[in-house]
Amino acid sequence: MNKLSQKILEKIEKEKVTPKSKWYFLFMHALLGMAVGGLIIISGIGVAIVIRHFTLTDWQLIKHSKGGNLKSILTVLPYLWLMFIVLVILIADKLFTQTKKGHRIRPWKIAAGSILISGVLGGVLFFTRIDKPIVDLLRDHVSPYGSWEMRRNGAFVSPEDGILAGQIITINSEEEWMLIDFKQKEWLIDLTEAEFQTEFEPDIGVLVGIHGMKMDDYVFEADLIGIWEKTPPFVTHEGGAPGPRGYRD
Amino acid sequence: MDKSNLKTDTELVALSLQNADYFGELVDRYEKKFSRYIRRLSGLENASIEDVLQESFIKIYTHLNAFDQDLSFSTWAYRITHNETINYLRKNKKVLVVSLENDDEESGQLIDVMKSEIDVAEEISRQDLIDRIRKTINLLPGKYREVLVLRYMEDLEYKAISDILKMPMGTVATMVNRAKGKFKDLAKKYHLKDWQMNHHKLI
Repeated sequence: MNKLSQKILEKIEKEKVTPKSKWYFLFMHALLGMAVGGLIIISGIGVAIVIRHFTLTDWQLIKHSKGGNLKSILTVLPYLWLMFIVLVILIADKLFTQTKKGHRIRPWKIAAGSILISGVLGGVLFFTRIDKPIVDLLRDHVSPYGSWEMRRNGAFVSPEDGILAGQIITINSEEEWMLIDFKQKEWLIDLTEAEFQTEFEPDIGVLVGIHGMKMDDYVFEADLIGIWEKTPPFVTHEGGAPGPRGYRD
Repeated sequence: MDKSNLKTDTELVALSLQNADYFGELVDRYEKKFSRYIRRLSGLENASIEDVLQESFIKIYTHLNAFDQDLSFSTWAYRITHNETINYLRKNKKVLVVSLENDDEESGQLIDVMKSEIDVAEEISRQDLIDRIRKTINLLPGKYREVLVLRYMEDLEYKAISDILKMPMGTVATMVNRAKGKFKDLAKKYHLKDWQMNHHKLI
């Protein structure tokens, strides 16, 4: 043995240096794998929420919103979620390259793979509605998220331009509701001339989008009504009402 | 003859986990190779090289259970040594400086490759040429210098470099190619035509 190996062996003995356990490395690898998997699931949830925003948005109503189509679409775009998905996928990809063989794969292939998996997973989650409780939880308990969604929904409150959106708070008769809009203002909705865009059971708590005409500061005459959050395809809508969403007093 | 000299690296790793003395054999096997690599990669002086080398071997020892048998021990240990060298340079705020020695056979390979990239006037002496090439290489960004050292001085395959630097093989090939291209540009810019006039620009 030469000088360096002796020195190293002496150091190992003197400082009681021992190899780290095999379990430690197995645990670390498992942790890394779980982190990557977890992040892909999270981005899948993000994708499901984005799909929800796109497919359940009332595009008919958007056409009438203030500022024109482009501004309305930009307002409605779930950019917060899109940024979140990009960030999560970037972190997942970075972690993936730290796995044993992850570095051997080209970054664009890793990115394409994670986007594909997130997309498929997002679609599955959307159709099984697993994303909905998460969004409800965020809306009710994470105030910045609630404010963002409020701002987004607020784009549909423009009675001067003939659109209004909010929650039914009272059903006075078949021809008259009380509604609180997403900017927290109460309205009497005149339904005499109204057509229902989709079939649904009007009930207290149901969120609706309305096209019509502002009659005065308190009364809005509806000509077209659509349910605010449509039921996703392939899912039976039980009970009709999505329930309170935090906009109620 | 010591029996451990006949054992493979993988066998010595397994034995080292039971008895640290076997690890000494692995150190003996790779000491010169890694010492030379650290010097080539960093241009550090001998005392610092020994520090880095010692730290690298201790890390290799503590991580023996993480040895990935899909890689050769050499590649795996290179990765640790490489990382320890870079960490040392960062910690001590030193700059990576590729070292090219006239009598170093593998340096000769890098010199020949680099020489083939440029037109060299015949009257330039070999020592002068080495000086110019060393200075030009050290003007390249660190990531290019690393791949050049691994490819042409350590004479490693792209796959091994890919596993050492933890990047895809295609990226390694691209970087080697770019490094040669940049070297050529720098050589044209600073050296070969007006060496006397411009050499003061080089560190």
